[in-house]
Amino acid sequence: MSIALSMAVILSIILSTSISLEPTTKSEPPDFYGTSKEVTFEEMIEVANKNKLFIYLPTDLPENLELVTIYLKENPFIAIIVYSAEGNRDYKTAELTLEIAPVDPKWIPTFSELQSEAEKSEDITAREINTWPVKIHENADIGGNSESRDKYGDYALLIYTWIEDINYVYFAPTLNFEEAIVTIGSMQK
Amino acid sequence: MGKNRFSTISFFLLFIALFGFIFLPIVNVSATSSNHYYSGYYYYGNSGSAPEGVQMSIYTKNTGIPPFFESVAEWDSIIISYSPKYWVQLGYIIYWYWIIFPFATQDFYKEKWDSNGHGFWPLIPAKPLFGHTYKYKLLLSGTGEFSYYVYEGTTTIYSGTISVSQYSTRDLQAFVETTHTDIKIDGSHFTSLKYRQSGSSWPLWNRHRGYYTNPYSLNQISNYEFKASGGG
Repeated sequence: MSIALSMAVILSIILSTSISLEPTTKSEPPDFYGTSKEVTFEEMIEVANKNKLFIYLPTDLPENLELVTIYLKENPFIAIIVYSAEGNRDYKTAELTLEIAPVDPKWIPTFSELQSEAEKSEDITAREINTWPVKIHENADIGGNSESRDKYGDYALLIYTWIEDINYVYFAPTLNFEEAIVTIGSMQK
Repeated sequence: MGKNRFSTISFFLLFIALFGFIFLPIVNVSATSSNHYYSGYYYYGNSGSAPEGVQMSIYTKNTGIPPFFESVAEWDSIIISYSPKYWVQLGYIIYWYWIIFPFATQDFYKEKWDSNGHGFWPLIPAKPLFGHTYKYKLLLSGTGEFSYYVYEGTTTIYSGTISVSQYSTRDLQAFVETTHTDIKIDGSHFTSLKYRQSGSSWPLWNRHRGYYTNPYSLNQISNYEFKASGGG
């Protein structure tokens, strides 16, 4: 009887840990390379101007990070600017990227909405910098780019801000909180 | 006689327990080693911000049982950001899942990846029937919330919401995705690809960018209809 009981206990442990209706492989939508082209800074600005978008960019970056390249989709306008100290042109593994896209104003959060979100998570900080709402998410899930995960692990620092109906998202696995604040504060047209 | 039966049951339970302990780690390893292959469309739209909704009809293709622990899915997606890669997705999948032993089946599913992590939810109990065409609709419906609908004709099979930690959309995609080139996708057919910019109208996609990876191919019938084939 004791054998049956112990087997039942083991079985219930196995059942509780092994019932999984997730597929054994996760989906991974195609990446940005399949729908964008590599452009120069001037080409990006020309397309942005055509779309009546005025781009702000950081002027103070840490760790010798430099703009290496830009990937652009014209319509809808999406630009990923790649910054690296190593000349890395891959947006998935570079030290810092900035994704820029216009958004419908109705989806832009107010500072108080960001504050409410920050109150629910110790990893999220809401700030107002130069009147722009800013959300800093430490330890955000690194997302579905497996190359990013392989290089930086499961979590990264993300910074969101909204300036003149444009959403700016910094993917910053090598930056710390203070550097994030300085980077946002240095953004200029 | 009763004691013998009892011993047999005990032995069986022990076997199952040992099987699980031995093979579960192997399954988890296999889960991280697969590749991804595609055939389908990226949305290519108008100037301004990205659409906030996507819908399309997808024929349910019986590709047969995929190789062990591989899968095939046909879906539409709203990309929330490319860097980092976050999205919400709705479609059907033929895949292996694990209840002590592995089983293969097909399910409707919803999926998301956002700053809080990955989530995959098979929609149960109704399953997609091979040879049938279903309409899949995804829509940003509120702050951090997408609505989803699966229809057959005018009948709603599933509806609900997917919560995410982001505020807006970036792009739309419609793809057949496999994790193994032995999966044959001939007969995959997407029709009536539509988007919603704002308001309540759903225009057909008027531009697109086709994309496929070896060994799959793509028949780009129009901006709002394609067939995918290859593999096997």
